[in-house]
Amino acid sequence: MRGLLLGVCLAVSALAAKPEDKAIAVGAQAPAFSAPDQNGAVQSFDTLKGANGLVLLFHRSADW
Amino acid sequence: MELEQQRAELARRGFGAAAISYDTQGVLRAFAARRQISVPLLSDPDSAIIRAFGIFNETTKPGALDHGVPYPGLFFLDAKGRVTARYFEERYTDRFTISSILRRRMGAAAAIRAEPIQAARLTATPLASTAMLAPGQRVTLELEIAMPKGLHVYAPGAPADYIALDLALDASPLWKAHPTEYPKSRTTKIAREHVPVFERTFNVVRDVTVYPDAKLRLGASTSDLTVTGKLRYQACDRKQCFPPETVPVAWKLSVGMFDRERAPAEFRRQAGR
Repeated sequence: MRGLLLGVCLAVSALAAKPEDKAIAVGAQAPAFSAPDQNGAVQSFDTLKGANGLVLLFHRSADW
Repeated sequence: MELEQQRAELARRGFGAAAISYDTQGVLRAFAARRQISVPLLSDPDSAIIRAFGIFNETTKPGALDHGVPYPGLFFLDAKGRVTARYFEERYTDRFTISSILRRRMGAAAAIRAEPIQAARLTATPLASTAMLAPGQRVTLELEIAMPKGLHVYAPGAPADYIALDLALDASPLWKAHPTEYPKSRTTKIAREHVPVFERTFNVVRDVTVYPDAKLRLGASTSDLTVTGKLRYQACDRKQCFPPETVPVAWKLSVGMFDRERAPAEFRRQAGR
């Protein structure tokens, strides 16, 4: 019974977890990254940024 | 893709733009060609970047198609790569719009400026950060209010016997209204009470998220979405208060459909990888 209760509590806390809790915080240095774009060109912060910085969108999928 | 539409506006403000997903490069190439997207779409098939940014969605099950997706979100980085702002929505179907963020953070011009509504002792001009919304997107609506010199309206926080300015949006199955945001008020002394007031010109702001099924509910014949509400206020000058007013207000927008087309089968992610 106690195990069940603990399980329910864990499930509820998992649902309540917000992306803000673990995401890189405001004021923090973003991690370095590099990855190929749709044309196969390898992109990184330095190749993408403008004079004032970069807007980076994380999305679920371009396919579904 | 809104990031594509706003890319030039971001560039004018010195910001690069890019998107990251767990899709393969083949999926991204097909998507970019079909939708004519020039914004770099970065392929992160192992979700390494997604994890590094701390937004791996750990509620997905290993082996499921969606295992590896991030919590959708936007990061603003400065020229040295520090995070200056981040935006997440509570529900994965909801999304902030760049146009709303540009309007709020950088004072970009509103995409819609409707005819001013002439009301008793003020004019109210409806503004919107975008004209065309995709399902689930968020728009910033504003009323730009202008009053003649010498008049004021009461602001929220005024004692209970004062009628404070209030922008109420109608309840609708098409949209969810976020809380009203008022500008800073000035405090004036009236009959020995300190009362917050607004005067001259000021903007009242309210975000609305269009529900993902809004277009389906509207039906095939129209894309028009008019967000409606009421502005309530009481204007006063030094000598007297005028009768309370309730004025209908509206923002005319349009809403589109989801893009349901998929990438060619050979590029698609296989569940269980």
